[in-house]
Formats: sequence, structure tokens, C-alpha cells
Amino acid sequence: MNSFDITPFLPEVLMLILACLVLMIDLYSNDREKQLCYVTTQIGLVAILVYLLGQVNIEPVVAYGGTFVKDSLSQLLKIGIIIISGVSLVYARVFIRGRRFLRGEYYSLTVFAVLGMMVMVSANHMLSLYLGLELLSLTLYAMIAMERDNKLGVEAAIKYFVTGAIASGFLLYGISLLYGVTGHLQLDSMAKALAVEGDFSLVAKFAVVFVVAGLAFKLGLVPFHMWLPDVYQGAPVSVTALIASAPKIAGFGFAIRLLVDGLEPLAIDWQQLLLVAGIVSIALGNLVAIAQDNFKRLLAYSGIAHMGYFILGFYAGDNGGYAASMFYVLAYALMALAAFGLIVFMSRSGYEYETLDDMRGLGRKNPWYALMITFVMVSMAGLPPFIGFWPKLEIFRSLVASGYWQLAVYAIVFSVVGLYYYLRVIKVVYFDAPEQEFSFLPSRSIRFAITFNCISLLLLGLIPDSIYRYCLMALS
Amino acid sequence: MELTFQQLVFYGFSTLLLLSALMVILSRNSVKAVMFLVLCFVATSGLWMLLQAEFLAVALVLVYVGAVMVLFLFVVMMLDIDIAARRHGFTKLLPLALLVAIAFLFILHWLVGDNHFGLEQMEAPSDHDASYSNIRELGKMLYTDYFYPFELAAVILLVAMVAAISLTFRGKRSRKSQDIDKQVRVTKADRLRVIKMESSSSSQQTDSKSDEESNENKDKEQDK
Repeated sequence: MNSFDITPFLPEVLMLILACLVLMIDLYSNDREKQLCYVTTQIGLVAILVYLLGQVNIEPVVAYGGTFVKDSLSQLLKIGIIIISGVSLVYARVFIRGRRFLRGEYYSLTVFAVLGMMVMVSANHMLSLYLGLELLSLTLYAMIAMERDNKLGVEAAIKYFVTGAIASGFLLYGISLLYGVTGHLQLDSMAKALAVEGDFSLVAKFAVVFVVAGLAFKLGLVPFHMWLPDVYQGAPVSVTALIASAPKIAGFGFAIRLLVDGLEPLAIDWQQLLLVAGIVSIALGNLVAIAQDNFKRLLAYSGIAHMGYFILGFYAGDNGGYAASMFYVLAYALMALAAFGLIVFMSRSGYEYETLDDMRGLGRKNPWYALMITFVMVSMAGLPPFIGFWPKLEIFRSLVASGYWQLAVYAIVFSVVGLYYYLRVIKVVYFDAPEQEFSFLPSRSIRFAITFNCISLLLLGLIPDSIYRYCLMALS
Repeated sequence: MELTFQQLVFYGFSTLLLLSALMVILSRNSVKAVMFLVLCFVATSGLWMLLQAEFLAVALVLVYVGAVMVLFLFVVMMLDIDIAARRHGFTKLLPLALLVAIAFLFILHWLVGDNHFGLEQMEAPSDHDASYSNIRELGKMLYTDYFYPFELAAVILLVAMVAAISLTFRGKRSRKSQDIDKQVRVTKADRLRVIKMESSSSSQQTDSKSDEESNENKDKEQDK
């Protein structure tokens, strides 16, 4: 009997302890704002982040009966997830202050969601992969419905819950078939068993359809995207800021573990499925976004299009393509966080600047934050020198390198289509006459975080290598 | 070919399972559907018993039938579901749905049927001897190889609890209820307050006297 080593999953253990600690503090704190819970959460997140930053470049360790893996990829994704979630909490604190939320639970549920995402990205086993996903989803269902007296929120939560449950069903059915075919649930042994050509290759392909469908549901790829705009619109904006950003990173980790680590021998099959989903997502996302007047729905459809670009990196099917996808998802998470953070920032109790008309003339009233919106929009459209440009370039490059230049041309054409609605937002902000006074959340922390978040889009865009180098390292 | 006892049990429970599963989706009354689901679980637990998974079989009956489904039944009985309204428009899509379902059934039968998972490809599970304990095997698996997923499942349950409370908790309510402990512990000082007052004036005394007289009069009238 060898001794038990806790160090591989120490960050997860610490995260769980943090979540329970926040729950306990919430219980004994009489403060209505639950400041102590917030401070504890942020300190805990920063501490775990520092611990993770200390060991980025490591040899892969598979531990705990093969259910857990710790490698550079998982460490990097965890770092990304924690940073994004921490910033989203900065936005959330001020947002929930003026609304009827249970504050302590909001913080602890966020920590549980982070834990679920961390489990997902460092899973080496179908069970831990699935349980991490459920942990994340369950937390998000609750957080969407958390705001009292918000009927849209409850509706969004139920929609998300039902579609999420169906997706989980698909995923589990696929996994059970794969287990029947290979006799393994551990991802690497599953890949080994699948590499041997057998009588079961047809069943395995059938299983891949279900697994990919479940994955597409969770990522919000067409044709499984219907929940996304309603959820983004109905959920409290601070929760949307979380849903639209960090879980996408976890989704990338999930896809890499499941498809590349576990189902590599069937790459030809799942690549075709992802290709179709990606192509349709890019077209539908960009075209429908043009017709949107609601800013949140516009961002939701643009998110569908972004996920389409992101998944094309998997079609390229080599490490360069996966690295490009990873870069893409990290950049997208940062941009989505900034976009929804701005909506949080411009909200006030009982009212949000939701439609595009609400933002008319912001450029004349408040040039600085209009500039911030411009940064986000231009970056999302994928223009240099912002961060949104480089991952798109990498995706296109890896597609061309793998010989799919037609696909790259198609994606570029729809990027140009997408430019229209991003620029329309900028036009509304700068060239329309203001109709009302703008008020922002009166908080220094959120003002600072927003500015930091938006400027980082520009700064990281000037030195894209700072992130991309690590993506290449993680997937080499 | 004659049926062994085990085969008889297997086919009996399988038929029961399929029929009750069919009835879950076909019965018009949702309470009946829940009851058929219960029957489904019971039949499944019978099948598990045949595989010598006695702990799982008992847990299925105890947990799902005993707790979850009863709770479910309460919820279904409390909801006022208008079945007729829900059925509206159902038949319009029925041909398409049937087509998809039947096609899917054929694909399923072809893929996971006998030609892939038949007895030629997969051996029948061998019988364990009498010393085999399902609980011990499960416990060993859960607490050694699978302790990480096991703990994760525990965390998910914790989150479910926190989430359920955060969705339903509406703050402390000021309800008027008895607290027996407080009532027993009460002292004279809690209830009775002795206040020193100035000696009353003569006019008040006369008032009170007249009050007393009127009261006496009323009493007399009632006596009559």
C-alpha cells in the first residue's frame, strides 16, 4: 500500500475548503453585504492562483487510480478560469448589492462552479469529466434563478436546466456505449482500446455522435444553440458574465480531454461532426446577430459564431490547431467578460441598458467608457492590434497549413459579415444623438476592473505571444 | 429447450419492465405514470438481483421507490397539469416523430443488438460463489479506485443542497408561534411591571365608584 499523496489535487481540495469556509462565514456573519465572504473568496482565489502559477511547466502526473491528471494544459486552463471568475466576482459584488440576492451563497456557488471547471480540465476519466460538468452546470442553474422577482431569470434557468439535462443524457448514453465497446472509462486506456480495429468500430462511431452532440449542447454550437440567447438575456448580467466566459475555457478542456485524449483514434469521425457544427454556427451566429436590437442577445449570437471559429481549430486536427483553439477560447473569455462587465457597469437598480438604443450617444456623454466599449467590439470583430485578431489568425493559419484553405476563406468572409454588427454598436455609441443621461455603478473597484479588463484586450493584443507561447507549450 | 428458473425470472421481470416503461409514457394520468415508473424500478431491481448485485437492487428499491418516487408523487399530485392542453398539437408532429423513433430503433437494434453484443462477442457474466459480497466489492471500488469521483459526487450533493436553499429561502419570517422553552422559563419580572404612580385625585375616585355602580346595576339586570 503506497502512501497517499495529496499534492496533485491540492488546488481542488483548497477550492473545496474555500467554498465551505465561505458558507460558514456566511452563516455567522450579520453583515448584510457579506463583505467578509467576498474578501475571503477573493483572497482564497488569489492564493490558489499563486500556487498554480508556481508550477505551470510540469511533467504530466496521472493520479488517484487514473481519474485525475495534472499537466501544463490543466494548470494553464485552471489559471485562466480562476482569473476570469475572480474578475467576474468583482463585477458581481457591486451588481448584487442593489438587488435581492443571497450574497453569501452567490460567492460560495461561484467557488463551487470554479471547482467544477477545475475538475473538468484535469479529468482523466469519464466519471470525473462528467461529474465536473454536472458540478458546474448545477451551480449555474441555481445562480441564473437566484435573483428574486426576476421572471426572465427563472425562465432562463428552466430552459438551461432542461436542455442541459438532455445534453447530459446524450453524453452519458455515448459514454456508456463507449464503455461497452472498450471496457474502459479511463481516457488513455480507452484511446488505446479504440486504436485497435475491431468489430465495434461502428458502435464506437455511433457513440461519438452522442458524445459530440452533448459537447455541442454545452458549448452552444448550432444546432444545439437554442438555449443560449435566452439564457444570456434572462440571467442576471453578472451571472451571464460568468457563464459566457470561464465555462467556455472549461469547455475547451473538456473537449480536449474527451476528444483528443480519449477518442483520438476516431478523430476522422468527430472532426466531420465538429466541422459541420462549426460551419453552421459561424453562419447562423453572424447572420442572426445582425438582426438583434438587444445587446445581450447580440452578444449571445456573436458568442455562437465565436464558438464556431473556436471549434474549427479542432478540425485542423494537429497540435497547432488545438493550440490555436486554446488561444481563441482564452481570448474570447476575456472579451466576453469585458462585454458583459460593461453591461453590469452601466446598470442600475431595476434598470439595465439592454437594447442598443439605450446606448445612443454614450460617446458624447462619457468618452472614456465609450472607448472601452469600442475596444471590446473591435476586439470581438477581430481587428488588429486587439487580442481578438490573433487567435482568429492562428485558426486560419492552422486551417491553411492543414490544406483546408476553402474553409479559411469561408470563415474570413463571415468575419467580415460579423464586422457589420460590431461596428453598428460603435456607430450607435458615437454617432447617434444622446437621449438620456448615463449613470454608472458608483464603485471604484468595478471601474478599475472594467478599465483593466478592456485595456488588457489592447495590451495583450500588442504582445499576443505572451499567451500563445504557453498554449503551444501546453499542447506540444 | 426448457426454461431454467433463472431464465423464467429474467423474462418475467424484463416483460414487466418493458410493459411498465411503455405505460409510463402512454398513460394519460400522470399519477398513474409515476406509479408505473415505480413498477419499472422494482422490475429493474429484480434484474439486478439476478446479476447478484443485491446491494444495488435493495438500494434502488429503498432510495428510488421509497424516497425519490414518493416525493415525486407528491409533486405530481400537487401540480395541476392540464393534460388536454399539453396534448394539443401532439398529433400534428406524430408522423414525423414516429418516423424518427422507428428509424432510431432499427439503428439501435442493429448496433447494440445481437450482432455486436450477443453471447458470441461477450461472455455471459459468471456466477459468483456464496462468499461473494456485493457491498464489500462496491465499497472497495468506491473508497480506493474511485474515491475521487466519489468525493466529487458528495460535493455535487452539497451544491444541490446549497442551491435548493438559496432558491427557496425567503429570509426570516416573523411568524407568531409558541416557544415552550421560553414560556416555561418566564419569571414574574418578565410579565409584571410594577409602576409607582402618584396618588390619584378625588375626581378619578368618584369616576371609578360610578363605574362600579353601573356594573352592579348591569349585573342585577342580567339576574332579572
